[in-house]
Parts: sequence; C-alpha cells; structure tokens
Amino acid sequence: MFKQLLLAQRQYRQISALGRRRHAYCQSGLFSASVGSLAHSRTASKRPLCIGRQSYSARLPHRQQQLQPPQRQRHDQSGGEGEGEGEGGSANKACWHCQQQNSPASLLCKNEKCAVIQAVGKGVNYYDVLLAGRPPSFEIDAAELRRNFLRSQQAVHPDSFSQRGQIERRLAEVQSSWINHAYATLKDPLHRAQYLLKLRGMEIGEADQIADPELLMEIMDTREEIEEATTDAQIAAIKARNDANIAAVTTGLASAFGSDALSRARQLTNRLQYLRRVAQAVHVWEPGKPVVISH
Amino acid sequence: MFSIVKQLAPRRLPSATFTKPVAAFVQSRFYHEKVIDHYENPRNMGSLDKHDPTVGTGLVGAPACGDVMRLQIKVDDNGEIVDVKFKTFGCGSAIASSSYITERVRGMNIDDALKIKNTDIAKELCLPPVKLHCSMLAEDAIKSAIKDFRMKRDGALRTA
Repeated sequence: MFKQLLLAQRQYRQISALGRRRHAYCQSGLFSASVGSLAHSRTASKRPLCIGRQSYSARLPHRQQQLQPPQRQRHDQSGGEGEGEGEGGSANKACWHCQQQNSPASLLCKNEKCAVIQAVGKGVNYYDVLLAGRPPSFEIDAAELRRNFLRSQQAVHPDSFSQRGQIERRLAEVQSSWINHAYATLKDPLHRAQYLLKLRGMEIGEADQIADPELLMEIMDTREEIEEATTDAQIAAIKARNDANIAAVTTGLASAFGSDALSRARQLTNRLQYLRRVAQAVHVWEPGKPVVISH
Repeated sequence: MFSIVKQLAPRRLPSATFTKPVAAFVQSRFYHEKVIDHYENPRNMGSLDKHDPTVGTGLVGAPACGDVMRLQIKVDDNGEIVDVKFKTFGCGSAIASSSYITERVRGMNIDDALKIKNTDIAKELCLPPVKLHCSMLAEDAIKSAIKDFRMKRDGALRTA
C-alpha cells in the first residue's frame, strides 16, 4: 500500500509537470483558437486544438492566472520532527491555488472562495489527521477513529473529483490513499504500536535481531505443535491459549506506552508480531495439509 | 567503470545478478527457481538432540516479519561439522536461505563456517533486495549455532 502511495505521488508529479507545460503552451499565444491555423504545426496532427482541451472550469477568469506548482509532497510518516503539539513541529502549508496558509493536517483550503483539496502536509502524522491532532498514544477511541476516517474520505475521495482538474484529481488520489493507510495503521494494535515506535525513533528495522531466546523457543514450539496437530480440538486449544497471550500483550502495550517505557514496548511489539503469525497459522490450518502463511 | 561502481556500493548484490532475467530479480513476488527448489525439496530439514554435548543449536528471529529459524550442527573433535539440520518458519526466501546454508556448511570446519557471508547466500539464490534480510538471518543462525556449541564445549571442559 505504501508503494502505491509513492507511485501515486510520482505519477502526480509527472502529470502535474505535464499539466503545467501544457498550460504554459496554451497560454503562450503561439496559436489562435481556430483549427486551420495549426495545420503547419507538428503538434497539430497529434493535438488539433489545445484550447479546446481545456475544461470549462479551466477557462474561468480566476483560473487563467498561472497556477502555482503545488507543495513538494513528502509523505513523512516518521514525523520525527513533525509530531508533538499538533502544528508545533510541522510548518503551515500554503494552498497551491490561493496561497492561503493552512494547517498542515488540513484536507481542504480554509479560504471559503477557494476550498480546493490540499496536498498531504510535510511532517504530518496519522494522529493529526484522523484523531484531531491529539498526542500519539496507544489507547484510542476506535469509534472516533472510524468516524473521522469516513468523514475525511467523504472530503477527499477521488470519485468526488472526477469533474475537476488534473491537479485536484491527483491530489485527491494521494490524499485518499494516505488516509486509507493511516486508518489501517491506527486501527490494528500491532501496526499502531510499530507506528508509535517509529514516531519515537525506535523503529523495528528489517535487519534487527531478536535478543530474547525464550520467546523464539516458545514460538518455535507452538508452530511445531500446530504442524503436528491432527484434530480441530487440538487447534482450538492452541488458539485459545494464543488469543489469551495476545490480549495480555495488548494490555501490556497500553501500559508500556502510557508510562513511556519504550524498550519494554518494543519487546512487547516483537512478541505481538510473533503471536500474530501463530494466529495466522492457526487460522489457515487444515487437517493433513501443510501450513503456509504468506506475508 | 563498472568495477568502480561495484567498489562504491559494496552492499549491493554482486554483478552476476544483473545479468539474470529481470523478472526473477525485480519482482519479489516471483521467486527464483532456486528458491522454489529449496522450498519444495528442502535439504536437511529436521532436528538433532539439543542435549547432546556435540550439538550446537542456533535460534534466531527477525521481528520485522515474524520469521524464526533454528539451525543445529553436530561437530566432531576436529571442529568439523558432520551433521546439520534446520527448521524455519517464514517466507520462501528464509527457508531457502537456511536450506542452502545447511548444504554449504556440511563438512566445513567451524572456523570456515563463521566466515560465510549473507551476500554469498543472496548471490547464490539470486535473492531480490527486499529479501536480503532473510540471508542475514541464515548467517546469524550459523554464527549462533557455533557460539552455542563453543559455550557448551567450554562449559564441559571447565567442569571436566
């Protein structure tokens, strides 16, 4: 999903560059609005009438002025410099259309006459947009998160932007996928914990090793138990035990993050990751078939 | 020119992989045929008796993806690895890396086995960049197994 986000961002930059070039070309006054005058131009055969390709809204008076290039977007989800007291760490962003200063987490320009969709703010974290800028915490109100998510998507979903210009459409795509990613991250306790660790600079990297042999032995034994299980009753027992472990770890994570014990939180996050894999294995288990989980 | 590029970027995969088919190298979802071979026909899968004083057990895990790998080696008095078994719960690349490393260390001296680098494993299996950490896990597994064996042996010598 993150890769799609980057791709959308790259596409948006390419298309927006193309849009700017085309707009400048149309504004350059090298040709008139009649078809015949373009017969000699090389582009005539490919694009017969540039001005005809501008949408109605693009020819409105307030749109005729040169559109400023949009803010250079960086989906800085680490937010190392951006998190804190809401807008404290991240700079206000200027609207690409009317230059009005907006808060970094805003989705639409607050200028009533403008109200265009904004780019994702630099250094903005998921809590700024989906949980009203509250300090990042492990315990969240799931109902509020869902409400804010649905409300945000109503504002930025690309389906509502199908009749708008290219820049707005691209921004809508990027915003919408960013918000989807934010919601998925904050909704799931494991991803939320990993995100919180990332915000505090203690991200679990791919090259990290586990320093806890007891955890590994426990997980190894459980996975082998699942492989050797032959009846549903055995699997149900393993599942019950695993679910209880997951509940205990989630409670532990809440208190660890609450008391800012980050190394303990990191340990518990690792444990939760392994317990989740066990839960996946239990879920896909079928008698007589090898357990294969993909990630 | 190409050799200068190689020196400047020592962590990248060696040049041999650049001549391989693009699909196998670029797409992490399309496993290379060597990885598939190790996955479907794993070599030396199983376990040894961990209480045996000549057996060293290495147990490592990658927290980012939730993989766990166990590598056991049986070492004789000359320091030669006479038997090796592995068990891995993880993705195909992790299973292939551990399967390959068991093939590689069989018959090696433990001092030579310590010198195996993850880049050798990645090069042999043509692992894509996104799966390089699997080969690192295999390298750590063999190091951990040898360390465990040495601790056991030194402990036995002290008590003897």
